Amino acid sequence: MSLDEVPETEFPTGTSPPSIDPSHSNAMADLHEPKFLHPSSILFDVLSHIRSFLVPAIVAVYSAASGGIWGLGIAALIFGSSLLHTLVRYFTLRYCIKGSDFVVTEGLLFRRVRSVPIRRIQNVDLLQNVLHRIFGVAEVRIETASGTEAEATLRVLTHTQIEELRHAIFGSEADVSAVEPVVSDTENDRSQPLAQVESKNTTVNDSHSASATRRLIHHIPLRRLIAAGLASNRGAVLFGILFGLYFQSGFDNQFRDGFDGREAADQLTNAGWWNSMVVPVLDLLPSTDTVAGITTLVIIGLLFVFVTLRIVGIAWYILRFYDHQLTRQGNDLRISCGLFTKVSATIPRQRIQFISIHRTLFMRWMKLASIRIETAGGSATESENAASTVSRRWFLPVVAENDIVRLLNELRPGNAWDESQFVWHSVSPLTARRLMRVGIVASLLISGVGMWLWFPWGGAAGLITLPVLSYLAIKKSRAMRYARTDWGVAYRSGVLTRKLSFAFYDRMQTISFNQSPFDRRWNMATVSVDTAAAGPADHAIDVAYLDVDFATEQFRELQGKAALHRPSWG
Amino acid sequence: MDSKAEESGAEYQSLAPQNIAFEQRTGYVGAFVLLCIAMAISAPVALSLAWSSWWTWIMLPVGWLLLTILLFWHAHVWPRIVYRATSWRLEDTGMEIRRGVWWRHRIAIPVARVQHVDVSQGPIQRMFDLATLTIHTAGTKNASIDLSGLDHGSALHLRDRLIEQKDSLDVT
Repeated sequence: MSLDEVPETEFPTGTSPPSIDPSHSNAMADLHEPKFLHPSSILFDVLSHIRSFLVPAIVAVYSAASGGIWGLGIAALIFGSSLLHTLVRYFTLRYCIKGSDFVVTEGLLFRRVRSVPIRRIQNVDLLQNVLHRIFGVAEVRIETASGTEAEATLRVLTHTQIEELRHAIFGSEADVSAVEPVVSDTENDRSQPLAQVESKNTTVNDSHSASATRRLIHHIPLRRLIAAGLASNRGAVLFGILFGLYFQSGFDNQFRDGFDGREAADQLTNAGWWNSMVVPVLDLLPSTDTVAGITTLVIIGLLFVFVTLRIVGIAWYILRFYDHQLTRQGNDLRISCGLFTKVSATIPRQRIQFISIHRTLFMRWMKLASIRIETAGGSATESENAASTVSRRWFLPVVAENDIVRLLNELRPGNAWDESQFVWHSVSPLTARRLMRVGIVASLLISGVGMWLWFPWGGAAGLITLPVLSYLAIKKSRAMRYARTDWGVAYRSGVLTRKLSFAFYDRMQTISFNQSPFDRRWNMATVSVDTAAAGPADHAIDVAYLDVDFATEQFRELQGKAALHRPSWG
Repeated sequence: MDSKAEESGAEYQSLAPQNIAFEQRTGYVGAFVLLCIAMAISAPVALSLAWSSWWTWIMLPVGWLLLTILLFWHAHVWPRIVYRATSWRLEDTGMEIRRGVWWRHRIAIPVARVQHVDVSQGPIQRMFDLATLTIHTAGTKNASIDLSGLDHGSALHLRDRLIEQKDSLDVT
């Protein structure tokens, strides 16, 4: 495209016409010209504004409906100002690719030009709720390694625009990855016959990733989501919320004031549906007069809670991960999922910092696992709704146990992933004894507190906790394993939920060796590895209770290996 | 850059000796402030609670004395112990820092992971010609690693060496 074709009006004052970089391919030349968002952006922007003013808006509309001039004025003001703001934003916001930067300009009075180097872009995430889907558009978030917020949010773009953008960003990315090849991938190619060919392809020839076809790597069928929902404790979140609501509603005050809460109960039981539907069920329940009756009630209650938890868990999994697909095109992994709100996230493969496999107790029974990954940036984002959360924290929420090796090979080809082939090292043999001693001290404390609360029988609490804690101590010490391979380290821990995590030499930022006074008494030490994104995977390489000599040796080894393997970004 | 043979297996180096004096000086000031606060709070409380008891008149000065001794020890002796426990070395693979008396920490930062290096100096540090070296990495828990108590010249030198080594890696 030539510069002449670009209309003058497309460039607001302050920005120069984009220079066309000859090194980039023609396929994305389109984006060198500043682009508007999709017109429906106006609608979504107004909606999101109104949502943030929801309470005043409702009050205003209510008062306007009942004839208040003031309310009408305020409603008009809120709506008008958000519409004005949106229109200004819509007509001034442009995005384009200028040289090797992704540039967003915005603002009428205060111009803001945000320019993000393309090679620093970590993820391009999409969020599409039901309304977005009706219009065939989606919200786009562009993230870099810095901070927790998205570097640029484009609300909203059409699918063709998004494809164009993704292509421009991850297509030109290939140039970068050719300059900085992933060392570990080319270096460690002796141990894996299968992945070898692929590893060569992806690291060196990936500048053609755009031409490669997108391949489905993994799809989660509905029945597996149901299984994962059954296995998860997601429902507990709901109970947390209900609990919070209960205490905020002041309902508990009625309880505290006299424990009958009769007023509330009366109100409830006077309702027709209560009499027709709940009372017959209540009549079936055993009376609370006898011990047996109370016990049955408690058991029924617990069962009810358990079943509800499972159902909520299943619902959550289906809502969030329905039709979960992992695809790959060259080095560019993409996840899409969601029942109503669809989320789609792109993760360049070379940006994966950390991989973690979690297996809860129920999951292990069903031979399932979940795979979490961490990319740089966004580690502090705790909000469960962000697209980034889905892509990182819940990368693959549920996979079959025997599929893990294949998937890991897709994530980081060229590594030998079979855990049974690793040379696992246990922690110091004294660990069980040390943890048991902690258990004894804890039990003594519990006994002491128990006695103080209820003399002398409260002391028996310690007698119950002691065997439990001792058993856990043995289990815990046996579960902890550490292995060093030629591409990184693996660390396994956990009794009920087993977590297995991998950190790679070329992604290790610092290595530390720590010894507490207790460690010194037991001749132990902790070796930890810090990566660019510790957090969402909920597991870190902090290998505690290692024998001190072994720990020193590993500290030295990791130091050398990390220095040898160069990071492929940053 | 120096030859590799010389650099690998480099000896651990201590901080600048004047760091002890610096830590002691700041320690005295801190101890004095703490002591004043403790006296200002404890005297009225103790006297108002047990004015008539002769125990108060003995225990209060004894308590103050013990506190003074403890604070003085912490200000005067502790910096020497910390000084002995802290060391660092720069190898061609990276930087390593050891510190901690009770809880001992060793951290290794590969040169290739150094994002940038700061050298900063507080007003009192400047009086002692001391500086703090801060190494930033892309990590999370150890995103920045401070090493305070280097003399200013060697902090600058260390910064230049780290950047030099990193650059020489980037070229290759």
